[in-house]
Parts: sequence; C-alpha cells; structure tokens
Amino acid sequence: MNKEYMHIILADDDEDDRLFFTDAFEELKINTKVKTYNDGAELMDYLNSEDSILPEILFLDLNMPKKNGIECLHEIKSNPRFGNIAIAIYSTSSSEEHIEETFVNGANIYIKKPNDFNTLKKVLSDVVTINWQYQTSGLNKDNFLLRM
Amino acid sequence: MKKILFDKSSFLLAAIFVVAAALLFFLMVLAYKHLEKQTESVEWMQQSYEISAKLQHIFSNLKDIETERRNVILRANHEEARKIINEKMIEITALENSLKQNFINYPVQQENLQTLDMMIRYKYNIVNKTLSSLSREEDMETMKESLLAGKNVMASIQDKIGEMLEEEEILLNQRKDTLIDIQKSTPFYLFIISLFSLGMLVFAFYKMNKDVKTQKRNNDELKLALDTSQLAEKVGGYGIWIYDYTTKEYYFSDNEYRLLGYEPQAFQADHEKFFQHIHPEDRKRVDAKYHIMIETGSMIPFRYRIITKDGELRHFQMVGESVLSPSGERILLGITTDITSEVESQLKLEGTNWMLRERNKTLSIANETFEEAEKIGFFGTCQYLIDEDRFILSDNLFRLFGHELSDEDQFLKSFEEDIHPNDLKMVKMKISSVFIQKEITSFAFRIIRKNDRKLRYIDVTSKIIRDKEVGDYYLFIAQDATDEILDKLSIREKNRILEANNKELQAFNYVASHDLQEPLRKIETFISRLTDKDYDKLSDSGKQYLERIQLSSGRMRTLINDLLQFSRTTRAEQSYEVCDLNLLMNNALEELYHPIEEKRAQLEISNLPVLKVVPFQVQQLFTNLISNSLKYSKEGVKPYIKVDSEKVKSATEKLLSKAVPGTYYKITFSDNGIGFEQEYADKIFQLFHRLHGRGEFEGTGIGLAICKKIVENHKGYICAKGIPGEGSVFTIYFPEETKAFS
Repeated sequence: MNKEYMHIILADDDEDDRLFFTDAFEELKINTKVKTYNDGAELMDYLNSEDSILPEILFLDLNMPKKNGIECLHEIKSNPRFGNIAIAIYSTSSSEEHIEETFVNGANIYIKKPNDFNTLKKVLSDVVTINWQYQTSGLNKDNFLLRM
Repeated sequence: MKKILFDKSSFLLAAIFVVAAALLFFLMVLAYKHLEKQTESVEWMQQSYEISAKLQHIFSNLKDIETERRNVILRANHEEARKIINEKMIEITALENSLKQNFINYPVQQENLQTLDMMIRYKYNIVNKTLSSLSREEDMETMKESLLAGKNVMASIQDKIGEMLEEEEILLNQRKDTLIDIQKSTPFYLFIISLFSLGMLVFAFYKMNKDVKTQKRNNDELKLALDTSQLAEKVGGYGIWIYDYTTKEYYFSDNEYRLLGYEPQAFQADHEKFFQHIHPEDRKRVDAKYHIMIETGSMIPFRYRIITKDGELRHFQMVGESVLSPSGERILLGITTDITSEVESQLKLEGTNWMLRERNKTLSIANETFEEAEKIGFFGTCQYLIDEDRFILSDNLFRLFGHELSDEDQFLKSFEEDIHPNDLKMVKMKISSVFIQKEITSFAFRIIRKNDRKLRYIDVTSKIIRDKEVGDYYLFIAQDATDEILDKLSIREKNRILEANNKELQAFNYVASHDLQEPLRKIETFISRLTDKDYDKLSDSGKQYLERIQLSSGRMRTLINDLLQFSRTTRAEQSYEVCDLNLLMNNALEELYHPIEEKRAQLEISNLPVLKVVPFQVQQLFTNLISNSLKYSKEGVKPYIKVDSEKVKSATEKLLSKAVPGTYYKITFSDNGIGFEQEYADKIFQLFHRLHGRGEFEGTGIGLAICKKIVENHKGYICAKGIPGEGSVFTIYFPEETKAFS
C-alpha cells in the first residue's frame, strides 16, 4: 500500500455506535483515519465540500435524522466524483426490504451491527481488508450481506 | 282396366287374322280361277289350230280326189283310182267326225261343217259319175260337163273351208285377247292382295309383340307384388289362409307356417293341424267363432293363444271374410296376426301404471318431507308458471313473512308492505330484472315480520327452470338468513378488529426489530466490553450479576428474534422438525426460571410425545402458557401447574366434534390460579385482549393470541376452561397425522 492511511468515514446518529466503531479501529492497529458524522446531512456536506478527502470506505447507518442512509446512498451513487468510494451499510436492521433496497441502489456490502465488541472488530477488519476490486466487480446478492 | 285393354287387343288381333285369312283365301281362289281360264284359253287356241289343220287336211284330200279323177280320165285306170278315192273319202269322213266333236259348242261352225259335208258329198257324186261315165265310155261332152261341175264344186268347197278358217281365226283372236287380259291383270291383283295381307300380318306381329311386352311387365309387377306381400307378412307378423268353399281345401301362406314355428309349406294346409296349436283353453271358443266365420263369411277380429311347434306361447288375432276369387269361386280369406308383443307391451303398460301410482305415493311422501324440510330449514319457495301466469307459494313462505296461511293473492298483494322501506326499491328492481333479463339472481333484503314485528333477513335465489311438462317457470327460493347474516356481520366485525390488531402487531414488530433491538444490542456490547476489559476487577457477586445480565439480555434477544420470526410465520416457510416436546418444555422452563423461582411455583409435568413441529413455536407456546399460569396466580397461594398428555380419538372428544377426524395428542395445562368467567373463554385468545387492567397484571395481550396462532399453525385446536377463583385449564390438541401440516 502506497498510502500512509486508509481513510474511513462512518455516518451514524448513535453516539454509542460511533464510540464502539472508533474503539474497534483503535484496537485493530490498522493505519486508518476514521472520521464520524452524526447524520446524513453532515456527511454529505463534508463530501461535497471542495477540500474533502474522499474515503476508501464509507459506513452508512440507515436510520438517521435529517438525511437517512438510503438518501445518502442515492446521492453518492449519482455523483461520478464519488465513484471510487466503497459503501458499507451498517445497520441494526437485517430486514429483507432494507437489504434488497440498498443492494439495488449500489451499496457494496451490508453489515448488521454485531452485539459483541470482538465480533465488531473482526467484521471491520474483514471489511477493510477485502479486495474491493473483486467485491465491486463480482457483485451478487449472496455475498452482499456480510455474515458473521 | 288392364284386362279390358288386353281383351280389346286380342279381339283386334283375332279380327286381323280373320281378315288376313279371308284375303289369302280369296287370293288363292282368284289365282286358281285365272290359271284355269288361262289353261282353257290355251286349250281353245290349240283346238283352233287343230280345227284349221283338219280343215286343211280335208281340203288336201279333196284335192287328191280331184287329182285322181283327172288321172282316171287321162290314164283310164278306174280300179286303182276308185280305190284311192274311197280311201280319201274315208279319211275325210273321219276328219269331219272329229271336227263335229270340236264344234259341239259352236253352232255357226256346225252349220258350216254341214254345208261343207253336203258339198263334199256332191263332189263325191260328181267324181263317181265321172268314173262310171268313163267306164261306159260316154262322150266327151258329158265328161266335160262333169269336169266343169267338179271344178265348180271344188271352188265352193275351197270357199267354204276358207270361210270356216276365217271364222275360226276370229274366234282364236277373241280368245287370244282374253288370255292377254288375264295374263296382264292376274299379277296385279296378286301383288295388291299380297301386299295388303303382308301389311296386316306385320301389324298383327307388332301388336302381338307389344302385348307380350305388356304381359311380361304385368308378370313382373305381379311377382313383385307377391314378394312384397310375402315380405309384408313376415315383417308385419301376419299370415294368410284361404278356405275354398267348393273344394273344401285350405291354403296357408308361407308366413302362416312360420307363425306356428314351421318351415314354409312344411305340411299340407289343414284345419285340424292348425287347431292342434291353439291353446287348449281357447280351442272351444275359437272353434265356435271359426264356424260362425265360415257360415256368415265375415268375422270381427278375435284373439286367442297359440302354442308353437317349439312350445312357445304366442298371442294371435284372427280376422276373416268371404270373397270371390279372381276365377269367380267363393273363398274365405283369413288373416292371422301375431300380436304377442302388443299384448306384452300392454301388460307392461299396466305394470308401469301400477309403478307410477306407487311412485305418486312416494312423491306425495317426498312432498310432505319437503314441507317439513322447509319448516326446519327456514326456507320457502315460490314458483311462477310462465305459461299459466300463476304463482304457486309454499306454506312455509307464508310463515317466513309471519303471515297466516291465507290465500296467495292476498299474500302477493301485501308482502311488499313487510319489506324494510330502505330495501323496497332494491327488491323491486331485482324482481323486475329477474323477469325482464331472465337472469339467475340472488339477493338479500330485510323484512319486518308481520306477526312479531321482528327484523329478519330474507335471502332470495331465483332461477328459470325449463320443464317440459309444466312449461318454463321461475323458481324463487326465499330463506330466512337472519342468523347467517348476523353471524356474517359479526365475523366481518371480528375481521375488522383482527385487521386492526394485525396492523398494531406489525407496528409492534417494527418496534421490536429496531427500537428494542438497538438498546439490547448496546447492552450486550457494553457487557462484552466490560467482560473483556474489567472482568478481573469485579467482585465475585459482581461477576455473577454480570453473567445474569448477559443471560437475561440473551433471552430477550431470543424472544425478540422469535417474535419477529413468528410474525413472519404466516408468510415465510416454516421448518417442521420431528422434535421431542419434553426438550422444548425444558427450554421453556429454563426461560421461566426466574418467575418460577420467584413465585415458588410447583410444576408437575408428565411425559410429552415426539411430534413433527416448528420447535421454537411450540417452545414459545409452552412458555406462554406456563408464564400465563404464573402471571395469573392467586396472591398468597403457591402456583401449582400440571401438564398432562394423552392420545385421543377425535370421536370421543367433545371439543373435537367439529375437528378433522383422526387421532390427536391432547396436552392440558391446569393451574390453581384466579381462573376466569367461562363466557370469556374465547375472547382471551383474541389479540391484545385483556381481561384485567394494566394496574393489576402486566401484559401485552398477545401471549394467548400467539398460543392460538401457533396451535392453529400446527392444525391443532386450543381451548380454555375457567372457574373464577379456582383456576383454569388450557387444552391443546395436536394431530398425530404429521402429513396434516407437512
């Protein structure tokens, strides 16, 4: 890897989840720079700003105030500037409707928030080290949902 | 008609033949006559020639005589001359005699011949004188005189012969003409008559030929008629017999024999022989009738029985009449008909009539039954006969409307008054649409029943029925559907409630899946963080609490997940597994460890069966039922819960009277709790239905509804029985037959 850091962004309105998320990356000892935003509006403001550093992976919670995950997903996928951002849905829900909708709208992976910190660490580690090239080209619904 | 024609023709033919024969005969006579005449003419001509020849001969003899006389004179040989002259005279006399014969029928020539004879005698005398004078040597003068006289006589003789020859020639010419006439006319007549006869014969031949053809055709027709009559006999099953009064003989037609079971003409037609086949009981009667028939020559048909050659019983009918045969003899013509099938069908008809009478009885019974059925089934009928423009109303129709059994007109006039005012317009429209559009219609309306002023629902179905006997008619079936409609309305209401409840449940599901899971997940994550980071720092009791928190939150997660999964059971595939229910019961008890401990409940659980079930659902069921018993336990009394299990037949269980027949596992949960009023036994299974206020007992009101749903998912039944203050019993039936829900 030529880059010093892998840029990662999480948009989640839940403070606890943001905490678990940053804690997990701290403990993983991977060279990452994690930024978190409290809702979809904040996230999009940042991404649309000119001096923004675009992340390699964007984790999106679905249920957020102001602008929810699906709306963010739409905006990002319709802007060619964000073409290289891999999008991971990061949600409490594992309902078929949500999985279907996000898959159709171009999300790369769907992660159901684990209820165990160690599991969380493993999931995030896996997601970061995925060969995204492969993941984006060989999209299919079976491996879309990341099962732990 | 034909016969007359034929007679006419034969008469004509005979006439033609007679005429032709007469003509031919006439022809023959004519021909003979002509031939005869011809022969006669020829003879006459011959005779004429003969006569002239004879006359010539006479003259030549006379000339000879003259010559001799002159010779005598010259040579004076008297003797020889005399001899020759006498010879010539004899010859002449013979010729004269023969001429005389020839001239029998001709007086002119006879006279001529006599004159000639006289002249010849004179001549002879002269010659004789000459001769005698010579002998006496007379003078020359006398000689000269006699010579001259002889010369004159010769001339006159010559004249006379010439005259005669002339005469004969005239006659000959006459005859020649006649002959020519005959020769000319004969062939002409012959030809004419022959031609005529030939024509007649040709005509006769043509006529005959034609007659032969007609006769042949008549013969063919006669043969066809005969064949037809024989066939008719066979097909029609009748035979003909003839009795000849004069000869006392019988004749039987072919089929007459067949009727008796014989080959045609198998025996000599005989009265006795026929009578042998008549049924012994009928013989006397038939004999009497037969004799009357012979005597009077006519008979009205009468029936009798016959036993055929093969011993078969047949029914015959006989009819006879005396007629004149074509040849003019009086005969008795009889027809024997086999009417067995007719008689049999008549018998059958009588049988059918009897059966029909019986059926009528049955029908009237059926009618009574139907009336009873009407009363019990709360329906009445009305028929409208189109052809007769008439209504037929059943008794029960009056009852349905609360009318007395009054006359139909009265009812038809006033029944509209009973109809609920709001429905009247609709009813009128429907009825008219039935009649106008001939539709099969079904509609319901309300009436105010006349006798008790109660609101009733009437359901009417109408149909046009095509009946061949009474014609097309409309059938209206009116049924008091009050109970059904009220039930339907209540079901509709229940459904509405259920739908509302389902929506609430769906909202609850959403809450459970998202909002409830969120804090739970965090609790668990924090627990895991705490366990990882600070476990060692905790005291022993703290560690135990932490474990309990972990266990509880885990149970909660299971519950939430199960609930979510349960809510999807109706649409998602359910995974049935063969499962030991004891295991599921243990899981349930484990889940309820705390409340059981807390309430110090006593449980008695008997052995449970192994069934094919959806495991988590049944576990949920057990949990819910036991927790229900724990929840509604009496205060101050230790809860006692007893679970029993047994195998039963649906037939012996009162509660399964309406269930699918078969073997069931019956599991009962009995407790000593607060119980409930029995009238709420069904309501407690309704979603979100609570018998108690939130202040008294905790609960969401889904527990038992879920139980019911689970049991129904397994094609089972659940019911509750409660006695307030004493306890309640929940009974579950699971069908043994695993196929029922596979």
